[in-house]
Amino acid sequence: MVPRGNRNSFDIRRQNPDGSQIVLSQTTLADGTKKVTGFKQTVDARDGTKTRVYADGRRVTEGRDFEHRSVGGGLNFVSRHNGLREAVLADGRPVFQDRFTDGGGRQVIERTRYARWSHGRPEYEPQPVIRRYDVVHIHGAPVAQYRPSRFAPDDYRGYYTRFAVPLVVGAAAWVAFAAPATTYSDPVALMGDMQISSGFEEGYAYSGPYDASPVDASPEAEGLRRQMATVQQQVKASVQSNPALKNQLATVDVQAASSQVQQAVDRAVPVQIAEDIRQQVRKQVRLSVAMQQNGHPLVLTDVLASGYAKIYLFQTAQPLNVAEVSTGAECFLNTGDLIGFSTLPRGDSAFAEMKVVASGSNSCPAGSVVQVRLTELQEMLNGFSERVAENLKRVNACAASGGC
Amino acid sequence: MFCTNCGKAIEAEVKFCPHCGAAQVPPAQPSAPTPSPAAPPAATKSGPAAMSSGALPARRPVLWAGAVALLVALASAAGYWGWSNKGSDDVVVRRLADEEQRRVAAEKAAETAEITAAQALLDKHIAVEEAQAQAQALAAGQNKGATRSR
Repeated sequence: MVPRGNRNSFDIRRQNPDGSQIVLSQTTLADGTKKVTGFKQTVDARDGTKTRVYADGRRVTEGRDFEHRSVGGGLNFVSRHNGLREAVLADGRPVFQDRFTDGGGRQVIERTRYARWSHGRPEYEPQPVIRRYDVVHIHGAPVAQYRPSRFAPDDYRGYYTRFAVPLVVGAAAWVAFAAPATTYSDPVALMGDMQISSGFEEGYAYSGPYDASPVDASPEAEGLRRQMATVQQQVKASVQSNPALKNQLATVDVQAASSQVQQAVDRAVPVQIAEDIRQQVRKQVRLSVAMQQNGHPLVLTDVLASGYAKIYLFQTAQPLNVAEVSTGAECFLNTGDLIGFSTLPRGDSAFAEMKVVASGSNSCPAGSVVQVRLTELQEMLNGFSERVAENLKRVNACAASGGC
Repeated sequence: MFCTNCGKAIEAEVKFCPHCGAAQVPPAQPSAPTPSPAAPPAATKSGPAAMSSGALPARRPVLWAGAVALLVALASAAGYWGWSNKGSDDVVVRRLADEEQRRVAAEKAAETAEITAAQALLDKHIAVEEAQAQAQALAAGQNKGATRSR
């Protein structure tokens, strides 16, 4: 049993006879509620590959040259340390896939997108969409950098012209704005809100089941939760009979393991978005549209050097498992979650301390400070630009049909 | 043919291996930017001042009356010392609280100023990019008009 930071947060580690390890973490949040998470970790002795299966069914594998994350609905994300990424469905069908190719004498990454997520399901494109990325290096680590695709000038007309008749937009189930709007006269305002809501929509769709039974109901996850409950009962008994241990730790919540995990999966509650966050994203969308029009890529080094890095918000593009800075506890950032710099990264660091500004119910809680790789921040900028480009098309379609 | 780096099968014409990215003919290497350093501001704090204490006078043999008088005097002196010291404690506590309040207010003001400055820089960047985009759109529109009139 290992206390973390204060007596209300601790890890319980148990070594299984087969060499695997169960790690159960209890954290007391600012509002006093206790959060219990847990995973089973196995290490492949041959190549050191670590696999963690979480109580909610997610799975993370860290190999020598790759990281593999599977989330809720069976979607698997792979990040290779050479900069290539891919996402595949549980049945092996690709959602997107990267490859290196020649971009006029320069090495570029070509990303072929086969499907996009719509209404909680993968929707295959009639023709795969191919995008090209420059390869840049951040502290020696290669990462793709989105090169804006050029649209015809007419494609931007809808964005710069106020709607003649206010556009009726269906309420976004994924977010709750402080001042909700159902009609929009200003396409810029619509684009900003769409940027936030489409991100969370995608994040929730990834974590929810779209086809098979929910992953948290898998025998492996259920077995893990049973084992976690047993470990908690044993620890509670030990704590009761040992005053020193009782003083060191808070009461162990024996109910939390199974019930909280189930709640977290079921509870796709709308994410509260404060007005200042909404306005900030709106500004960033304006910047992104103009940069897209000018053919300027959104680059992390530029953001860091801009003088406005402190207020800049990054939108999580793909699910990530990260460590909380204060406790070292692990949590997930899911697609759509918004984070900003807590501290600007030092010149020699490949990581940044990021504060979670708005997040979904299965993600690191808002207000927590987590450590994120700089290469992931560049991926978030890429994802933001791509989402802006997609939403630009959506807004034009909405304007043509008179509603969204 | 096979990649010279990872050994996987690749098409004959490719310049870069699609699997590992290794160049198959020596190309010009892309530049490798690294994030510019940005040092976070460090905060410093000064500690509170220490308090000094006084010494009691030495006792010597005297008559009973003198001894009682001396005891009364000593008790009064001790009482006064305690009372006056309590007063100075309150002053110190109040001063420290004021200092803390001023420090927090100054930090908050600095933070607000920093955010305002950052907002201004972002607004400026947006204005520059939007102006450039509009100029481009205008030029494209004029070209289109010229083509149409021809």
